[in-house]
Amino acid sequence: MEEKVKFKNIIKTGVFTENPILVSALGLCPLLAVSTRVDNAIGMSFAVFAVLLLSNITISLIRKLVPNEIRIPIFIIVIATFVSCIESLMKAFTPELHESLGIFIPLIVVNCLILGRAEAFASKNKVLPSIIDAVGMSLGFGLVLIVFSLVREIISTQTLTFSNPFNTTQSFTLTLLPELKISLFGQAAGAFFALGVMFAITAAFHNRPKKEKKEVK
Amino acid sequence: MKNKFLKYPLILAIVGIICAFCLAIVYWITNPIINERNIQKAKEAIEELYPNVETVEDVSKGYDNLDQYSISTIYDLTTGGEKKASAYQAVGKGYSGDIVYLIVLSNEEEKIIGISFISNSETSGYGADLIANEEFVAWFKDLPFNKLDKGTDLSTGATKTMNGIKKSVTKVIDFHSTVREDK
Repeated sequence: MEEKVKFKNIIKTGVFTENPILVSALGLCPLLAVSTRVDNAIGMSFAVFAVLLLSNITISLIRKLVPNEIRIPIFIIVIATFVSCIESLMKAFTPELHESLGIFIPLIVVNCLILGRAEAFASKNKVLPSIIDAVGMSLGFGLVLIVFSLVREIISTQTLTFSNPFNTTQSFTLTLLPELKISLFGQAAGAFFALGVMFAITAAFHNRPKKEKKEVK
Repeated sequence: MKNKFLKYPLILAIVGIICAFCLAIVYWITNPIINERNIQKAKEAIEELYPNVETVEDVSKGYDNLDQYSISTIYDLTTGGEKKASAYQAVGKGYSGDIVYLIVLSNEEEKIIGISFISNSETSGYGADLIANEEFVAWFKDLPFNKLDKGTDLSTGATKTMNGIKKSVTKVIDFHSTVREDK
C-alpha cells in the first residue's frame, strides 16, 4: 500500500509539482522546435519516453558499479547510445516521422530532462521507482508538448492534421477556427510568444492567492 | 591514486565497448531496411522525373571515384533501346547534415531533366521547407547546365542549404560531362 502511494507521488511529481517544462524549464529546445505539428509532438514525446525509460533503467541498474567521479560521462554515453538506437529504429520503421523530426532526434542526447533525471533520480533509486519516474516525467513532458503543439498548429494553420507515423499517406485533417489564422505561431517567434504566455499562465496559477484556513478554536 | 588512474579509463572503456556492441546490433537490424527503402524510393523517383524510361540499370560498380563527386549510385536510363539519360543519387551538405537527392541528366543535351529529394536532416521552417518547396524543385526542371550558377529568384532563409545543394549538383554535372563521356 505504501509503495502504491509512493509511486503515485512520483507520477504526480512528474506531471504536476515538478513538471519538466512548466516548473523545471527542462527540454525547452524540442518544445520550441517540433511543436509546429501535433504529429511531431506525439513522435517526439514517444522518442523522449523511450530514451528516458531505457536510460533510467540502465543507470539505476549500474548505479552501484559507477564511480562517483566518472558518473556524468558514463550517463552521457548510455543516453547517447539509446538515442542513436532510437534514431536508427525510427529511420527504419517510421521514416516520415524521422524526416519531420530531423536533427531534433539526435539532440535528445543533450535534452537536460534525460540527464537531469539520470543524475537526480535513477542514480539514487532502485529500478522500479526509476521506471515510474521515467513514466511520470515523460507524461509531464509529453502532455505539455502536445497541448502546446495543438495551440500552435490550430492557430497557425486553422487545421489539425493527424498522420499514421508508419504510413503518412494515411492521414486526416480537421478544419478548426476558420476565422482565425495567425501564421506567426507556426514560426520561431510565435513559439517563443506562446511559451511566454504558457509560463505566465503557470506562474499565475502557482502564485494565486490561497484561501486562509479558518482557525479552529 | 594510481589505482584510480587505471580503473576509471578501464570502466569507461568497458561501458564504451558494451554501448558500441548494442549500436552494432541495432545497425545490423536496421541498415538493410533503410538501404532497401532508399533504393525503392530512388526507383519511384526516377519514374516520376523521367516517365519515358523503359529500363533502369545500376552501373555504379564501374566507377571507383564516386565519393570524390559525392555520388552514391548511378543509373543508366534506357528509352527505345538507347541510353538517353542518366540518374545520379548524390549527397549534398546542408546546414544540419546530409541531403540525399536524385537527379536525372540528359545524355543528348546539356540539361538537367529533374531533381527529387530523398532525405534530409534540415531544420523545419528553413532548409527542410526549401527542399519541400515545389518552386525550388521545379526550378531544376530542364535547366541548362550553364544556368545553375545564376541561381533562383526564390528568397529563403536557408542560404547554406541552397548553396550545399548547388555545389553538389555542380559536382555531379562535372562527373556527367567529364568522367562519363562514354555514356
